[in-house]
Amino acid sequence: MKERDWFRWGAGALLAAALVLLVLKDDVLAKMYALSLWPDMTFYLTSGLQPGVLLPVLGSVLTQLSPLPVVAMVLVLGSLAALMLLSSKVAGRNLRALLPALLVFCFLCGLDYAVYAMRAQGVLFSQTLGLCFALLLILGWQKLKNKAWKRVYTGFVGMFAYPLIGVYGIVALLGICLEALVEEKRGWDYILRLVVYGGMMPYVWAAGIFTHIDARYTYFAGLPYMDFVDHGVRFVPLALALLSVALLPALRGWKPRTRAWQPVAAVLVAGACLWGFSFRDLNFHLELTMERAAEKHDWKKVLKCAERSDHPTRVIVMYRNIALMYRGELCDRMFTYPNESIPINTPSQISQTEVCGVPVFFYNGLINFSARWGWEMSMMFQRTLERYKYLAKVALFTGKEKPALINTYLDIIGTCPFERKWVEKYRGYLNDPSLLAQDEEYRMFRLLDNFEENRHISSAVVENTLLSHFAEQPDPHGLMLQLALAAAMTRKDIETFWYYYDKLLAEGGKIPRHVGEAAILFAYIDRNQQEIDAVAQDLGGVNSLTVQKFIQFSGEASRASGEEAVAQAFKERYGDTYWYYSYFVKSLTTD
Amino acid sequence: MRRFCIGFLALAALLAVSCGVKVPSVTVGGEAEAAVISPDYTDIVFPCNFQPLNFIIQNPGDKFITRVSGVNGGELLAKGAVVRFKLRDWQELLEANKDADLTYTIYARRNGQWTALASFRNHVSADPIDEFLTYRLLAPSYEFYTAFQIRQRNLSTGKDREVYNNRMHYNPKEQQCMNCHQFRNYRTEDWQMHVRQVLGGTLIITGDEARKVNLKTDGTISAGVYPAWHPSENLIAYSVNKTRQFFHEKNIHKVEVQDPASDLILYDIDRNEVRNIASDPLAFETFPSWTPDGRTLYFSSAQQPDVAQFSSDSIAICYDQIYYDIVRMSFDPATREFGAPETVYDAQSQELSALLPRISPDGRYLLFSLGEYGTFHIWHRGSDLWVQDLATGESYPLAEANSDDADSYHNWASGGRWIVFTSRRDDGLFTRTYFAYFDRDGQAHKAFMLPQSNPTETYDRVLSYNVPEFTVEPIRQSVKTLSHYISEPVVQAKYAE
Repeated sequence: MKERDWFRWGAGALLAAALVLLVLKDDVLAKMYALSLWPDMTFYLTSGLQPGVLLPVLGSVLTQLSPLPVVAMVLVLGSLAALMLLSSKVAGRNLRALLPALLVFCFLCGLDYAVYAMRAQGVLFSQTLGLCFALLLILGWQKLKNKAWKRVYTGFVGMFAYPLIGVYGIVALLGICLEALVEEKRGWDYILRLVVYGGMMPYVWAAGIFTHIDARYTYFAGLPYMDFVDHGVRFVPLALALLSVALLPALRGWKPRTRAWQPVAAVLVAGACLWGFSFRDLNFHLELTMERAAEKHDWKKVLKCAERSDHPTRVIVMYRNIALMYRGELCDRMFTYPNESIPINTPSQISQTEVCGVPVFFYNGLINFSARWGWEMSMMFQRTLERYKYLAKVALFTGKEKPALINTYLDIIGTCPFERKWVEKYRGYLNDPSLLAQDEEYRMFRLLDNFEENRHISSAVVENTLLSHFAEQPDPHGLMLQLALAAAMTRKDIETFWYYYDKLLAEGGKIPRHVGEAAILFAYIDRNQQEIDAVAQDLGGVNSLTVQKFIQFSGEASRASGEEAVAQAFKERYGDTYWYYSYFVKSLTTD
Repeated sequence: MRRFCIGFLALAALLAVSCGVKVPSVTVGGEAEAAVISPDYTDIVFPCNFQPLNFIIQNPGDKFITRVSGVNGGELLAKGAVVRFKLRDWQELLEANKDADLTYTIYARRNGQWTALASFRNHVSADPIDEFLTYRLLAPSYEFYTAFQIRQRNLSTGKDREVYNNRMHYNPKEQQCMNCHQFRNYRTEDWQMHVRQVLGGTLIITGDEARKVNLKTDGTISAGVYPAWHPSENLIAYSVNKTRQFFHEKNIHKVEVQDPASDLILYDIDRNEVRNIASDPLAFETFPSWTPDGRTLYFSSAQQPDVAQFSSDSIAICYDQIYYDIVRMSFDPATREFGAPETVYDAQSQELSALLPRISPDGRYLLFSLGEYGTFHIWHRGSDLWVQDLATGESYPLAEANSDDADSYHNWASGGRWIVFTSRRDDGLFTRTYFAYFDRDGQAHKAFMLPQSNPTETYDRVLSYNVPEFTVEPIRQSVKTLSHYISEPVVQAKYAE
């Protein structure tokens, strides 16, 4: 097979592999859309006025044009195909020409929890575009025949590419100069050009125009360096992609004899790279899917997702509890699930509140805190469509905010081409509050808003804040009482539990399963026979299923020894009860 | 060739004529409909050296023409719903109409017919405003921040430049905050700002020299916070505050910022020395401000609500029962000694809180903000601007300038005829900068928002403008120079008993 055929097959294989990975990561693609925003004046004022500005702008625009994961897939594959095409034009049709696309895709596959806290905008496309622009500039130089024009063109690239595409302009310059050194007999003046333009122009731009940029990052302009300085490994594939673009033109004439095993080895190495750099974490993907499902109020899907993880993070547990709450099953089912505290799998310093604070506070009715975190996250990282949507809903739901504020949010969301319908819906609520009253989220919020005002020093740990909020309600009713009981049970706070339990009895109605389990357990712990009898009565008498099962549990528990083995044995038989949670789930790590 | 040139010129002339703006000759309807423009620049008094007041027309219509004519002559025409005036034309119009009215007439085309909306007038004050305004631009966050800036606006031309941004020393693990920029006597030769966390310290610039100082000493409760440059001596009075905040679960105020402890200190720049000047353990002293003659220091002071029960937790509980008065102390620049505190405005007895005393440049008026409680009025919707006539002792609200939302952080321009303040009147969340004319009778006129060259940006920018400070000249340092100063090692201030 000829080398060009290997290129074709290689490109096809890479695109196919990319498609498979993108399908597997469709939730990440959806999240990238939610975490983008159509560029506006605030973008320029806060982060846009820097070298390489074209890349985040175009990256954001393309991300905004991908409201559905399938569209994002097409655009990502398209950008990779364009990169491969340009690369082959610059370096010839050989397997080497696939390197930039492979490496940049490895970088994209490596995106993990960092997506929640990205400061760079449009990363899904910006880096691929940067490489494409660099190759285009090199291709332009190659197309010129006249040596004098080539030198003029090099100067042009050296002077003006940096402000637009940042370090990718320097990479293009490096590629041009290296190829000139190889191709031209008297091309030594290109070294001088490289030193002058590549070494000095960024500083000239920094001194003249970009006076507000931290000089340490001059040669990182256009890269998402602010997101990766604390975890440099993520940068490796991207750095190699840049290096490959710089070297490929110089290697254009290099045609080593291809042996049959080499392409096979190349495929294996490429596969290993994709596998090695790709971030695979079930909980991460489940959280993303649950978040999307919750947004659509698809609580069945949220619960289905939760079932897929045997070792969930607290984020997953919180989403599951929200789904149960919306379905009215919280106190019947919340402890039927492993209440584990698996930390989120990230080397970055990202907290659970940063991952889920805005939506989880929102769905739990603490909308002041949802808005607070919406702004904190916007300030720390970037303003996003998703955060604005929650801010708009919060402003609308409180009923105390000025219409001007709600309109500001809606106007900003409305700049996103695929969000006009969403804006129309909420603008309709603003203009006609009777429509708002019919909104399911709003109706739930009204039930959750039924609490006494309290103050918190901080709300930086989302689950702690929620537990304090619900477990410290002086006089909860209805749904709030269920949440208060759930919080008291989660905190194993016996005194508070009894307070709410009495209220529940006073309200009448069915005692939820876990509440009954907790009541009989706490009565037993208190060693108060009168109390035990009373609870047994509440639960339908001593022959009731809960009481009988508890007698069995307490008998076995008193005879058991060897903590770990016992925990495992009890998990199998009582893992879906509050008793198991109370005895064997020792401490929750809420952040 | 010649024919071609003539043809080209004729075509250009035709284009110019056809594109020129003309007042529509045919109008229908009466003048009943009021013009609705945003920002609201109707019936205001603005300075003769001010940048163009561009705005957006919000009345219905598919085409618009705006005509601005001066009583003393001159006319501007602009077309479109977004009205932007050329700087030179605007300046000429203002120059011709100093201390005179401008009449605005907006023509709206609806269904192919032109309607004239009701005209409105603005008055061009002959009193100029200080040319520069320095402010912070940031998103309304609470604890966390990555991107914000100190910027300076040339109020005559509208040019806006960055003074410093906190990404200059970006550190992903620790943030950098900067605040409280303040200038001596409206000039930029001597000024200061604080940098917190990364490379923290107080940057004090005196002429060509800069020093980054740590004002926290063993004898003071914190580093310097709210500054007040002495007008003639090399002294800065600061409050030192132990500040904390807590968050409301559902209250519209969202957050409360409190000082469970605060005192006043005096920093001697030449000696690099601080000393306590007001440190009553039963009182919270804050927001110092000198009179223009430098012989009196005003500040806000609150009594602890209940000393017996007092703790940092109980202050959170009784957060809405902490009331600040305006207090003053005499100062002798020769001996550098202060007199006894004297209450100037007793807000506590009214169960109100008076903050941020600022004395007018002529020394006659005390400007302050009055709210329901506490020390951070920008989060209190009931906060308003008040003045006290120091000659008569009469205090009154600046009703024309105030709004139904938070109005706070105010300053006088050097001429004493203009005040600047921040307000959340537009949407309740974003703090925007407003100006108001303060006339010779001690009354403020209707306030107007800091304009943008493109008025749509006013609302596009979901950022708050705060700490507005006037100067008569631009800041002399570049971003890079300030960045260099900030990266210098911090100098520890000494404490004097």
